[in-house]
Amino acid sequence: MDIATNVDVRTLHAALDAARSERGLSWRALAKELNVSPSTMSRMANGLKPDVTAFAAMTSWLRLPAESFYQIPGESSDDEPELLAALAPLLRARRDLDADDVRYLEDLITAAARRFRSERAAQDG
Amino acid sequence: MRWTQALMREVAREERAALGLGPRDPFDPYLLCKEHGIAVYPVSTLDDQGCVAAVAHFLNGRSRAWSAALVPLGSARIIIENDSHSWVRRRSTLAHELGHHLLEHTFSDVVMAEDHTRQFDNTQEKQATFLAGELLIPLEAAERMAFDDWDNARVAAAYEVSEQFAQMQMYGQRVRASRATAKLSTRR
Repeated sequence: MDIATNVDVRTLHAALDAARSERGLSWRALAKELNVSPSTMSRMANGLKPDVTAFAAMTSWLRLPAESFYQIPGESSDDEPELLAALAPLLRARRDLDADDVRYLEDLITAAARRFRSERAAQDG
Repeated sequence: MRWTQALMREVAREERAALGLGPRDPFDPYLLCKEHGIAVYPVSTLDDQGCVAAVAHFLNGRSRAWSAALVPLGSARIIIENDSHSWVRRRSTLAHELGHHLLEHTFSDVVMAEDHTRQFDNTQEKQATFLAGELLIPLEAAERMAFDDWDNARVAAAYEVSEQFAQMQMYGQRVRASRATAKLSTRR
């Protein structure tokens, strides 16, 4: 299956998320409406592009032109919130982890996030 | 969404089918993560990322303190897992994390694998555990094995789970199988 290579997958995923939330649909229910696999939706959430058939089904369901989701070269929609700012209170709330555990977990999470971003950037070329 | 056991079984069936698995085939949670684009990073592979001390801490000194983390990166999800744990435990931990993902649990309630019951939403924990069970040993397989009188060791070996996990999945079906057998023998 051909991959829709020039799609801004983050923007498309965000548009689908907003529309499905408004209609009270789970991601799984939306996948069924679009006749795509639930893993297609997860893969998009994880920065992987859909195939051209799935992309067409999505833009048609959104009633938006496909061009709305074409990537503009050099532009990035990277707007991730500060990871550890969100996670640190949750980690510290765990009674079964001591202070060293939490500190080392934060190091591991930062390292894994760095690797993930570099792998995705390499994939996007 | 209100998840019933029937609905969760349907999710497990769909996800297993997407991997080309029938109801009695063994399940690979790593393959399902890949299918969903979820990167899995074993702790031991992160020692080139400037956190050698953290890797050593969880692989050696405090290995039992922590098993896995499902981490949000914007809309993306990654899993970091403690690969000093046994293979069967890693598989069930990963299946549990997938359970949270597949049931679309909100992230604020889901962070740290199967041992966070005390801190997090107990219903969601039970749901993720139930789905992990259905992914690894579906009801249909458990029914068949119960009627065929498989013991925990045999189930564990066939499905790459711990004997404790096998017992958890098989218990109800063994009760049903023994009742059905007793009913049959009283009719004779």
